[in-house]
Parts: sequence; structure tokens; C-alpha cells
Amino acid sequence: MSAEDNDYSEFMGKGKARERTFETEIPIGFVHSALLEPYRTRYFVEDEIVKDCEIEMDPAYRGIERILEGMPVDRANIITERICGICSNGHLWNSVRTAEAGLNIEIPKAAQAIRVLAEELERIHSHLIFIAHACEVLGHETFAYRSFLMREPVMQILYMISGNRVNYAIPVLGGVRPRTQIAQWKGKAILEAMDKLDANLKKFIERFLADIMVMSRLKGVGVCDKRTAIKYHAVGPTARASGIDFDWRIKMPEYKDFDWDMVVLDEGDNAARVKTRALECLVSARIARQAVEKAMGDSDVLNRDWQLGSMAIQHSYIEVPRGELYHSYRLDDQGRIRHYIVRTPTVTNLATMEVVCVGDQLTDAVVTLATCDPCLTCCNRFVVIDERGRERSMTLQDLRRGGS
Amino acid sequence: MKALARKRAIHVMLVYTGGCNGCDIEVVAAVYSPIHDLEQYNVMLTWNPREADILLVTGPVTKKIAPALKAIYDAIPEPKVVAAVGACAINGNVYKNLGGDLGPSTEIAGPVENIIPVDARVPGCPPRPEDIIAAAAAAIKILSGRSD
Amino acid sequence: MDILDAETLAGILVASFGVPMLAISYSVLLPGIVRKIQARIQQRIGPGILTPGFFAILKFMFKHKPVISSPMPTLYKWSPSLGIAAMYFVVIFLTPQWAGILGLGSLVAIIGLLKIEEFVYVVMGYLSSSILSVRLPYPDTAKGSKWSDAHRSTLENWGSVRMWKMIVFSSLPLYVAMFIPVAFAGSISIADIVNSQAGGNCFIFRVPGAIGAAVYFLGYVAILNEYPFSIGKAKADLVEGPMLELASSWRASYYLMRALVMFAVSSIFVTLFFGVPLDPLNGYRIIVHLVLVLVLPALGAVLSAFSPILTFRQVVPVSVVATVVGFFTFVISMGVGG
Repeated sequence: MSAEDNDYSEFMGKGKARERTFETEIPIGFVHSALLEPYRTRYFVEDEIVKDCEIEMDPAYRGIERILEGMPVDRANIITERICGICSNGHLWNSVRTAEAGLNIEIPKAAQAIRVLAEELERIHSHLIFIAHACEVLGHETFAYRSFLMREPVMQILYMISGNRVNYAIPVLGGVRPRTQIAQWKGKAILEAMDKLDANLKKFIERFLADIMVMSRLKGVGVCDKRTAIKYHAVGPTARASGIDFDWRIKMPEYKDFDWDMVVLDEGDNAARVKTRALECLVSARIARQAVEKAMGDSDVLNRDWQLGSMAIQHSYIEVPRGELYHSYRLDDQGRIRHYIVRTPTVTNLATMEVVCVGDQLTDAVVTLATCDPCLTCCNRFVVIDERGRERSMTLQDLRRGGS
Repeated sequence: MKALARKRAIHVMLVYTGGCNGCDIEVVAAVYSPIHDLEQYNVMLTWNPREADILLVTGPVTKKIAPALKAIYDAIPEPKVVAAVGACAINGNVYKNLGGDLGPSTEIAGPVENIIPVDARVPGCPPRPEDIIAAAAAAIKILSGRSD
Repeated sequence: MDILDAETLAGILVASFGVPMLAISYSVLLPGIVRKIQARIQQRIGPGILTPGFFAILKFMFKHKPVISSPMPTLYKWSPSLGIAAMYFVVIFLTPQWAGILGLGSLVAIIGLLKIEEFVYVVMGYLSSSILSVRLPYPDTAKGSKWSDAHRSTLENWGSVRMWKMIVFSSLPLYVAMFIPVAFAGSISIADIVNSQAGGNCFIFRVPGAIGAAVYFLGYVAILNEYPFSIGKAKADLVEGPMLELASSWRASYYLMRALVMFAVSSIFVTLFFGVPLDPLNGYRIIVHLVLVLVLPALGAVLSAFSPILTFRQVVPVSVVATVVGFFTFVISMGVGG
């Protein structure tokens, strides 16, 4: 990579502040009405226009990979669920998937379908929280309330399947927990709820896109063109709203038998990011229906005959609601985890937004940051413990340089 | 009269201290979901410590957030009640108590009671919105019983 | 000036003390009504009607007073009370009993007092520094951070700058709309405007009056900093703007000031556009007045339930258009007036 490719000096902030035309700096702190999770933003504004921005993401760092080093693998899987409360199923599934790929464990078909169902339900509820939060940051409380009202049935379904509304612990090594099998009556209830969600969501999207005031706030603001999105490694719906047509579900074997569409839009502004996620909810409802049909009534959901042993480093990528999630670890000969690495999508999505929000007004910049759906609890820097046992932290600067 | 006013108008502030955010989502669902609707019990959500009576704290307190939590607690005028929501706020949950070869996390400044005094505790990982409403009711009782 | 006889004096006393008491006790219901309407639109049960106004004010009065972080704490703490005093005078100048005294029963006095109330926000924002912005204990300017020598503003300072801009842009529709009944009646005295609509000949039922009422409504929403014109204290980036440091009884005084502004601006609307004055000595008129005062807050609640916060990109064109419409209606009313 040549020096011209990596010319990041425009945001490294060289020089004195007085030499650039900044009127003032406004820090928006990590306890704030616009943030659901703690991150600190410093906006450098001039007459309401944001000229520069710096995001600091590490208040929520808890050192999960450090906790997991040397733990038995099945115990570690459950702990990864607590990395994030919204995408908890994604972390657990990816963690279990890594070990299963390395140890060559067979998963029954019904269990695969239930795992896909859980992930799609999670995608729906996560996107509905995002829409409610974006409306809240816009200032439109009524849409936020409507969005939460649509989300409640999804939470009730997850409660019915798994026993908990959040942190549902559906996948285990070898399949899913036997309690989470889909009986006939549960399957019918889920199908009805999906139909209702479809109808309500379609009405809501029409109403949302027809609202003049909301669209005037969202259209043309925070434009992220395809080149910027590629340069700063945006992933997930944030990238698909800018014209990048990639979704990890194309490559995952679990989704091979499902009929679904990828939602890609071209405008790359805030409205496109919100619209992508709303349309993805409809696609997820479709996949969820197919998953229920595959898994309904089948009680063979757990494969118990497999052996725990050592495993070389295995990588696993899945598509969580915010983009691409990467887990990797290896097992030593006692089946204990070594060198766990978790890399979540918000790191690069938020970095993209840091560049994209420049040039808009301050209130719009706050909305732009919210539209990349940041989930800071996953995010933070991760610790690389190399083979010589030395710890090395990678900061945002390293990741921007494409570090490894 | 004091007790009546304190019972009929309550402001709640939410502070997230670096947890997994599950409890925050359930608190927000308790407030913003028309099905649960905390406002019908005359409890209003605010983001300003000067306006708050009840402080809801979620998450195990990371070392970076601990001074800010103390400063926000000090900014709330008396009489005030602190409710620790979720297992992380009560005892640190998986971050402080579990660990493999390298031990548990070194970034946690401890459960909330290490930093500020706690009056109510809501267990759960995460607690359901109904539990959070019950916690708000218990905190209101403590608040209206205070005679200062 | 007429000789003050006992009856006129008694009337003035009732207007100076009875009407403000009525205003205070009625206005603490208004925030609750607004919140309840918004809650019903949002398909939920909201708080009780007395809660956001009456009980909140009472509760804040009973809280202990903390140390306010401000360069001039006394001015900051008593600014809302200055606003309350301004509203007191607005309410009594609206009564017919004050019509003849020193020419104070005129629209110019009322506009001046409303300007004082708007300026209170600017003063408060400049004078406060809460824990939620710059003072939050966080290592912002560590080595390697961007622009570590930049000047740092608190959220309230920025709110004060925005309130200043709002005074310029969004109060114009309100004042232009107030002058439309003046053109209709041919006088800035409130008593003359009321008398020209005597006998059920309300100005609002005529076309220029209806347009003027619509422009006045936009101005009402703007002066109260409600959605969609709440950019001065936008919840999205300023949490609460200039009011962040107010605590205990000073916050109670701010809540009361806001409720009184709601009442006073609606009361001006009813007096100017419906011709029903705030007359404490006429039971029928005062009841009709109090019922009509509910119209603007209710409409404001519906509008704010269905709108986001508009930034200056949208506020400036909207208020320019409203002002231009109001000005043309003013010119037309001068011809129509009778």
C-alpha cells in the first residue's frame, strides 16, 4: 500500500486549531439523550456546520477475550452472548459455529433452521430498535413509540421459543437447546405474528416515507458514496445503502436453501440507511416463515455424539444485523479456548460515519452517527495476544491502516 | 403534601456504565413501549441529573466511567434513590466473577455499590420490563417515605 | 386621566391580583393536557393531567438546593423568575381594567414583555456549565487527540447561541400575526381591538383573520420551543439546552414560567382574534375565555406529536414564508378593517 493510498492526514488533525476555522468544539458526552451506548464525540463546528469530528469509543471496554482465554469451550460460548444485548444470538451462533467447523460436528436440519429463525428474528427486533432510536434522535417521538409497538410481538415470540426476551441462548454445540424446538402450535403463532408484522411494517414504511418533515431532515444528509464506504471498510446495511452489494448470507451454507433478496440502495444518505434496514425487516420475515416451516414439528434438534479435542485456528464470518461479525479461536487438547478474537462491524461503520458527518449541521451530524446503528458494547479495541504471550492493543488507527 | 407531590411526579434518569446494553434496551422498552408505558405511573424519563429523582444504573462500572458516574450521582439533588438494574450492576455478572487462565477482567471498577450507595436492586440478565416497573414502584415508595 | 372612583379602583385591584392567581392555577393544568393529548396519539395512557405541571412544580420546590455551577449563579437562578414577572405584567395588561392606565393596555407593551421572556433563555444559556458536557470527567485532550487546543463550548452555551438565532428568525411570525388585528381595528390599544369585534363579529371568522391565526399558531409553537421548532433546546444534541443546571425550586420556577407563557400567549390569541377579553368582573366572558385558551395548546400538542426537530435549514425558510404571508395579510386587513 503506497503512501498516497493511505493519506489519512486530513483527519489526523495536524496543525493548530486556530489555523483552521473552528469556532468551537462541542463534546457530546457518553451520557446523553441521543446515545444508547457510551461513546464520546467531539464535534468541531463553525456556525452550526461540523468541520471535523473525533469519536472515542472505549468507555465500554470490558476485556471479554481476556476472560475467555483458557476457558472450556461450552462455557465460553455462553459468555460471548453477553458481549452485546441486542445481537446476542449472533455472537453465540458464531462462537458455536467456529468450534463446530473445526471439530466437524454435524448439525440436524431442524436445528439449522431454528438457528436461522433466531438470527432473523433478532435482525427484525434490532432493526426496529434502530428505527425507533433514529426517530427519537430526529425528535419524532410518535414514530419511536409506533416502532416499539411493532417490536413487542417479536420479543414475545422469542420469549415463547427460548424462555427469555434478551440473551435467548438458543444455539449450543451440536444443535440447539431441546427446549427451543418448534411445536405445531408455536409454529402457527410465529407465522401469524410474522403476517401481522408484515402488514404493520408496510403501513409504517409508507407513512414514514410520505412524511415531508422527516424526509427533509433525512434526504441528502450524511451522504456516503461507494468509494468512501469501500475506503473505510463499511459493512452491513451501512455499506449496502451506499451501493456495495455484499451480504455474508450469500456465502453461508445455512442460508443455501432459503429464498431471499439482498437489499441494496444507491443514495448513501441517511434516508437510504433507514430504508435499507426497514426493507431488510420484510426480507427477514420471509426467511423466518420458511425457517418455521422447515423446523415445525421436528424434535431432532441436538446431536450429542461428537468428541471434544484440539482444533487449529478456525475463522467464522456471519451476517449480524449491523454487518459482518468475525470470531476465531483455537482449542488446545483439553478443549480449552486459546487466542479468541472477536471483530464486530461497528468499529469500521462508526469510523466511516466520522468522515461522512463532516459538512452537515450539528443536529444532522448526530443523526448521521445514529444511522450507522452503532453498537458500542461489541466494538472497542481488541487485544491480540501473540504466540510469545505478549499483549498488543490495536487501536482504531491500526485498523484504518488495514492492520492485521 | 410533600409525600403526595413526590409520589405523583417522578423523574428517572438512566446511566449506562459499559454493560452489554441488554438492560438498557429493556429499560427503554419499559418507557417507550406503549404496552408497558412507564409514564402512566407518573414516572417520566429525563436525561438531566438536575431534574432526576431516581437514578437507574445498568452495567458493571468500567474504570473509565466510574468518575463520571460519581459526578453524575453528586449532581442529583436530594432526596434521591439509586436502583441497580441487572446482574452486572448488582455483582459484576460474568465480567468480574468469571475467568479462564488470565483471570477475570481487570477493567471493572466493581459493582455499583463500590462507587455510589444503592437503594434498590433488580436482578435479571436482563430483567424484564415488568420487573423494572416493579423496581420503579419500590423506589417511589422509598422516595415518598423520606421526610427530608 | 379619569378620576379614580372606588369602583374603578376595586376593578384594578381585582385585575392585578385575582387574574394572575387565576392564570397561575389554570396554567399548571396546560402542560398535563398537552402531554395527555400526545400520549393518546401515541396509543398509550400518559401521565395524569396534574402531573407534568402542578405536581412536578410542587415536587421540585421540596428538593434540596445543590450548588449551581455557573459564573454568575444568582443571575442564573433568578432568570426564570424574571420571566414569570414579565408574564405577570402581560396578563394584567390584557385585562380591560388596565386599558386606560398610562397607555399600558396596548400591544407594544405586550410585545416588549414577550421579548424579555425570550431573552431570558439567552442569558441562562450563557451562564451555565453542567456536568453533562465539557465537565464530564473524560480524558478528551490526551496525547494524539485531534485539535486539543480548540475552544470548548458547553451544551448550554451553544443553546444560548441558538436561542439568539431563534429570537431573530422565529419570533417574526408571531409579531407580524399580532399586528394583523391592529390593522383590522386601526389601533394598537387592546380595548379598541376587542370592541371592534363586539357582538360576535370575531376576526378569526374572516379570511385575513384565519390566515393570521395560522401564522400566529406557528409563532406560538416557536416561542414555546416545542417540536418542530425546538432547535434551541433540542433533545437530540443539547439534552435540555440552557436549562440544564436548574435544580429544585429554580427549576420549579422555570416550569411555572413555561406554563405561564403557554397561558399568556394563548390568552393574547383569544383576546385579539376572538375578541373575548380577560375580564375578571364578567363571569360569562371569563369562562368563554378560559375555554378558548385551550385551543392553541391542544393544536400545538397535535402538531408536536407529528413532527421531528427541524434544523435551521428548514426553520429559516418556514419562518420567512410565514412572515411574508403575515405581512401581506396585514396589508390586506388595513383595507378591510372597519
